[in-house]
Amino acid sequence: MVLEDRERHQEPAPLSNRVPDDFGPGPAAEAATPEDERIAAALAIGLGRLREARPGYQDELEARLLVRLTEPARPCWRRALPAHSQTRRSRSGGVRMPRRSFVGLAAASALALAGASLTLPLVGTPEVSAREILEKVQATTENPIRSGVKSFHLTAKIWNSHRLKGRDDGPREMTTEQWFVAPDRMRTESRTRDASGKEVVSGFMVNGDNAKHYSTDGANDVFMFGIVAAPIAAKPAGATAEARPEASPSTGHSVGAFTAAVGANSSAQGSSVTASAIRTWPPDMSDGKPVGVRVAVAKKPDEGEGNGEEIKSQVVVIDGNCPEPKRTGEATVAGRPVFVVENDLSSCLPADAPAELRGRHVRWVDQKTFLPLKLEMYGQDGKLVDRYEVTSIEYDVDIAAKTFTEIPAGTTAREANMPPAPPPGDGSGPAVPATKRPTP
Amino acid sequence: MSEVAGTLDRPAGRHDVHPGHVDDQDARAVGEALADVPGADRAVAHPSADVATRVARLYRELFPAVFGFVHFRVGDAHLAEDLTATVFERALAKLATVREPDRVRAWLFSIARNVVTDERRRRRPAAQLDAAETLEHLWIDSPERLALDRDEWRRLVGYLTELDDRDREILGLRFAAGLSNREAAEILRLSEANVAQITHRAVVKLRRRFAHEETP
Repeated sequence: MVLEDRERHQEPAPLSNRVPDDFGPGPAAEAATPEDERIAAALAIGLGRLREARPGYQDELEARLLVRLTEPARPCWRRALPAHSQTRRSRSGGVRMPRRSFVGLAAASALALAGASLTLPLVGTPEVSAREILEKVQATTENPIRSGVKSFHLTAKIWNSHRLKGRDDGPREMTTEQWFVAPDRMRTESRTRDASGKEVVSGFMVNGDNAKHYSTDGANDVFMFGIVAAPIAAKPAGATAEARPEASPSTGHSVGAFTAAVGANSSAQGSSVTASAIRTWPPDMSDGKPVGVRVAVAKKPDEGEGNGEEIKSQVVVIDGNCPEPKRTGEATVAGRPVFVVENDLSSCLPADAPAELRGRHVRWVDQKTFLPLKLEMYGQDGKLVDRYEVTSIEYDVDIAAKTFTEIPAGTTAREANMPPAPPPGDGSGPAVPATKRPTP
Repeated sequence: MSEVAGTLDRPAGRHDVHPGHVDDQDARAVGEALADVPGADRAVAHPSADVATRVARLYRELFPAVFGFVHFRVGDAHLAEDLTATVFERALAKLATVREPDRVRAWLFSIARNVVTDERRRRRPAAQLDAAETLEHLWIDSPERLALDRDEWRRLVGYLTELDDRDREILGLRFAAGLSNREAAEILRLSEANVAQITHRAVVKLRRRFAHEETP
C-alpha cells in the first residue's frame, strides 16, 4: 500500500546523499535496488539518531570519567569492594516499568501538580537534602573536577576577624581570584594589604605535576585564601596522593557529611608559606549508618604556643550528637541560584576543638555545580568570624594556558612550606592524636 | 501518504550522520590518543594533563558511536546511558592493557558488545522485544522526516526484530554506531566484503518483508 501510494504521488526518493557511501551488496551478490537504498537510508537516518544522548549526558559522563582518571589507585584491600558506582544511575529498589506505564504516571503527576499549584507556593526546589548538599560541596571543593564543569573563573571577597601574629589592625579584607581548567590546572590568587598598607599579592598555581607559590617582592605578611582546593590530579614531587588536597597552601574548606570545616587561613613570613588546612574523612560506619566524622586540623600555633614554626595537628571527631544540617532557603549569589544550608556546631564539639569549628556555619551552594559561592561562619558568641562571597563566576570559559605558568610582575616564586600530610584518606582513621569528645 | 513528499524533499538536518563518518583521520587520532599507552597504568593513577586531554578527546570521538550501538541493542535510552558508562569505565580501568593503539576502537566496541551481552543475559528474554516499541519513538520525536513515513518506519522497526542477532548486531554497528564496513569488520573480525554482504542481505530481507506484506 505504501509503495503504491508513493508511485501514485510520483515521489522518487532523492536519497543518494543519505545512503551510506559503502552500502552495497559486495561481490558476487545481487545488485542493490533503489528500494534497498531507500531502506538503508532510512536505517542510517533513523538509527543514527540513537547516537544522540539526552542533552548534557555526554558532558556529564565525561566529567565523571575524568574524576575517575584523577582518583588515586584504590588500595588492594578496597579493590574487593564494589567498584565506583557514581557513573551509574542509582536505581535503588527500582523496577523497570513498561513505557506505557509512564503515560499514566505522567497524567497522574500532572494532575497532582496542578492540584498542588493551587495550594502551594511555587518554590521549584530540587529535592536534595542538606546533608547531600554538603557531601557534594565536600567533593567539589576537594577536587573541582567533580563539579562537572570544564573550567571556571571566579572572583570573591573575603572578610575575617582573625588577627595575625604581630598585627593589630582589625578585621582583614581581601579579594581572591581562582581559575580552574579540568583536569588539573588551578590557580588561586589573593590580594590584600600588609601592615604597612602596601598591596600584596599571594598566589598558588598548579599545572599538572608542577606547582608553585608566589608572593609580592618584599612583602613580610602574606595572607591567602581559597575555597576550592587544587585538583587532586596535581601532585608536586614528593607528596603522596592522599596528601594531595592538603598540599596546597590555598587549600580551603572540606565539609564533612555531618559538618562543615572552617575557613583556611594561610599566613606567610618572609619567603615561606605555612598553611592551616582542614580535612574531613568519610564518616565512621556502624551497621551501615554513619556515626561520626573526623576533621583534621593542621594549623600553625598561635603566638606563645611552641616556637612558632611547628605545625600542630589535631583531629576532632564529630559524632551524631551534632545537629543535622538544615536547608534554610534558596537565594542568588553572583547571579547563580543557590541552596542555603546551615550547620550548627556551636554546642556539640569538645571544648578543645578549634574555635573556628565551634560555631554556626552558613553556606550558599550553587544548585548546579555544588561549588560553595558564599560562606559565613559565626563564633560561639554569635558574632561573624569569617565571610567569603563570590562576586562573579563564569563556568566553561576559555582560560589562557599562561594563567597557570606565568606569575604576575612584581612577585617572586617562593618555596612552599606545606603542612604535614594528614592521615591516609582511606577511611581507616587519622594517625594524628584525636581529640575525644567529653562524656556527657 | 501525502506526508511522504515533504519527507523526501526535506534537506538533511544536522542529525543526519552517515555511517562511515568516523574516518581515517579519526582513526589516526585514536591511535595518537593512546600513543603513550605503556605508561597508561601510571597515567590512570596520576594522569598528566596530556593524558587526560587525550582520553577526553578519545571519549568525545567515540561516545556517540558507542552510545548509538548500545542504545540500539538494548532499546532503552536510560539503560543505554548506564551501559555506556560501564563501557567507558571498563575501558578506563583497562587502559593499561591496550597493546595496539590502532585497534582501540575495536577494543572499545568489544567491551560494548560484552556489556550488552551481559545485560541481555541478565534481563528476561522477552525484554528484548521492548526494543521494537522503543525504537518507534524515533519517528515521532524527530524534527525531520525519514525516508519512510511513520507507518513504514514502524513496520521496519518491527522487521528488524525478526532478523537474527548477527544481522541486528551488524546493522547496529553500521547504522546506529555509524561505522564503516571496514570498522565493523575490524570489530567483528570479519572481512570487509563479508560485512558489506551481510549488511546488504539484511537490508534485502527487510525489503522483501516489506514487499511480502504489501502483496495482496
